[in-house]
Amino acid sequence: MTYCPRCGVEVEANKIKCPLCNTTLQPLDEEKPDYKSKYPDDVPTEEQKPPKEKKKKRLLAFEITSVVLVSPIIISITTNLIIDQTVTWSLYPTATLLLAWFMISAPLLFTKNIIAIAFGEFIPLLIFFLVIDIIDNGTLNWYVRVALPIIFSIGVAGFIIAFGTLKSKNKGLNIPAFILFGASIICLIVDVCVTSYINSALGLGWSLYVLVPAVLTGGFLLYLHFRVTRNKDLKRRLQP
Amino acid sequence: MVPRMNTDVSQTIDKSLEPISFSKREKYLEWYRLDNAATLFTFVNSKRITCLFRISSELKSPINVANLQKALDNIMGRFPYYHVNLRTGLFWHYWEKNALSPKLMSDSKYPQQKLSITKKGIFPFRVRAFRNRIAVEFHHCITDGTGALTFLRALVGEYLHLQGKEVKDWLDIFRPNQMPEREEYEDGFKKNYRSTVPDPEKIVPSFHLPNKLEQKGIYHYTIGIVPVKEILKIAKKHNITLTDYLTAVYLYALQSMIFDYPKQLRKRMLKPIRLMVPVNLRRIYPSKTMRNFSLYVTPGINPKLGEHSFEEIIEIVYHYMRSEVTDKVINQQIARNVRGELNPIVKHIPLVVKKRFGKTLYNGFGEYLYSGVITNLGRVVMPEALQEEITDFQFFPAPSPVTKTGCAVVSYKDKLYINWARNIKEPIVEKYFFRKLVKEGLPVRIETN
Repeated sequence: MTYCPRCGVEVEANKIKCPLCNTTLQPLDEEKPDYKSKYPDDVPTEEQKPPKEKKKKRLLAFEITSVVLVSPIIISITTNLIIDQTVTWSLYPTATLLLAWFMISAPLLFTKNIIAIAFGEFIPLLIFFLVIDIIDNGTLNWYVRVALPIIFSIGVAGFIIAFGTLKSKNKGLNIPAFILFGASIICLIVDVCVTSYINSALGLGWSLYVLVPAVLTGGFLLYLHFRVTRNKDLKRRLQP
Repeated sequence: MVPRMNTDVSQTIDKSLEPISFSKREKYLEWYRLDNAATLFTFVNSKRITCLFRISSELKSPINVANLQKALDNIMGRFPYYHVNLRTGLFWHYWEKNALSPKLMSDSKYPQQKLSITKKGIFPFRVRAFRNRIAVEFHHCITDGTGALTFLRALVGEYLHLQGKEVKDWLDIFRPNQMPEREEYEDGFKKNYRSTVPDPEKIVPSFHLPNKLEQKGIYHYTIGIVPVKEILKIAKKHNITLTDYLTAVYLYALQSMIFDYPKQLRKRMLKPIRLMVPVNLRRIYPSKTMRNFSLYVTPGINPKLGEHSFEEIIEIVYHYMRSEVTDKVINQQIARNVRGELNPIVKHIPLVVKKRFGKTLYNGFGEYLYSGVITNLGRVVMPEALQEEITDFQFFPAPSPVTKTGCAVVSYKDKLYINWARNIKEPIVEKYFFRKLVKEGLPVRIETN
């Protein structure tokens, strides 16, 4: 009989170490009985795949995205060249696909740098609309008065929402509230820009219908977050 | 002489269902609904949560595989409710009569691996053999420990009978020539459901072991063998039952483990230590059901209040068990579970959607609330003529990626088998548990897989 001196338990005759504390056991002089294992020695049938490193996974996603987006660009430019012997309409899909490529790549390449991600999303948008406006007839038409302020408002609102979400200690209903407020600001700016461009004078149209319910709902969500949800045991907390 | 074997399922249960009209009986034989507890287990079935528990029996001589297969074929007619395959309906899963017959499997180093129960023709259990051992692994969606033990006792009894053992008194062991009773099919939960009983109080999540999980499929056993007489003597000295005593040792082991961690690490671990202790409801509500009919109580301590002495833990467990293991308290759990199933909205939600919610429900009500599980199957009794042929009975809990370790206890003849199973590398809880038993003056023998 073999005993573990630390645990005080008797262990099987073939054991070199204690199954509980891993202490090396003193081999006994007496002849060991013919021991047969009570369980087969096979290994699990289903081997688990080794976990891929996060960075490798991201780089693989970037590579796949690049290959997937570059192929249609090449196809559209080549088709355009074969048919028209010049590059005309293919500039539209090319610009759109490049924009998608930049916007997908930014969070894959700069995961932890929120400012780099924000610029990676924002600058390609600015360039994209500039290119689209210029392709049209070689001059700037709507870019400065419509596209620029809208992109800025989306960029700023998106950045504030993302930053606020990351920094918020108690995430809950406050996040949808922030999103609603951000969306209201974007709607307001879009409305002002588009209405002014069409009417050639400053003005407001439909955005008030969005603004009022969105702000009210957002406010209600914030109230729920700070007063009710966070203090589940309100009655208990307020008892004298 | 070998008695007449009834292997035809429909023929076997025919007489037991005499009060039911012909059309209803045909329907009853072909398919039946899952019991209340089973539904949740079908939702969470995965490689990590296999929901398979195991009972095994070691015999004196090596297993004759041909005779064991014959014994299995013979007894299946006595257990028609296990001769089934899980099928998927639009709103619920259901059991359908399985056209195949179960085949023996060889055992593996790491047992209790995933069983794909929804596949066509798959039985909700496995029968395995290795050297001198016969083991059954049952999915919790078909039955609980009592049902599985009844099945294994019948299988071992029939096998030894085919091996030539003469038995005069079969005790309560199910024999192939018997007719199954209708009550064995019943859903005990629904039978004892009272709609006016309120839900039980909610409990907060408990302490969980911080150790990293092993690969999927790896499941370590640590078996502690203790003389029954001596452990009962010690439990009696403390004036508590064996289950209460082992629960107290388990809680004490977890507490000692937490307090042995460095102070900084310990701070994060000071959450309530709570154990899940299944209760066989057949002892509270008279029932012959062979399907799931057990719920649980959750004795525990709060290490935030300071380190409890072993005597304090014994007091806590003793009083908790006396107040909680009553029909009134258990009724609350039954009411909550059955009410959910009977809800007309829940009833008409498609199964695919239910599955998503089922997982969340399992996590919310289930294992996140407990630090471990300890289940006592009690004493296994076999006919006197067979006792010499059987060396042991052992019982292993289902794997859990949340509690990571579990303990199942069973006694046979003069020995108590305290079987630990874990899906982490280190036998940390086992070490504290068995060291405490040794400290209490008990001789412990350890075996592993």
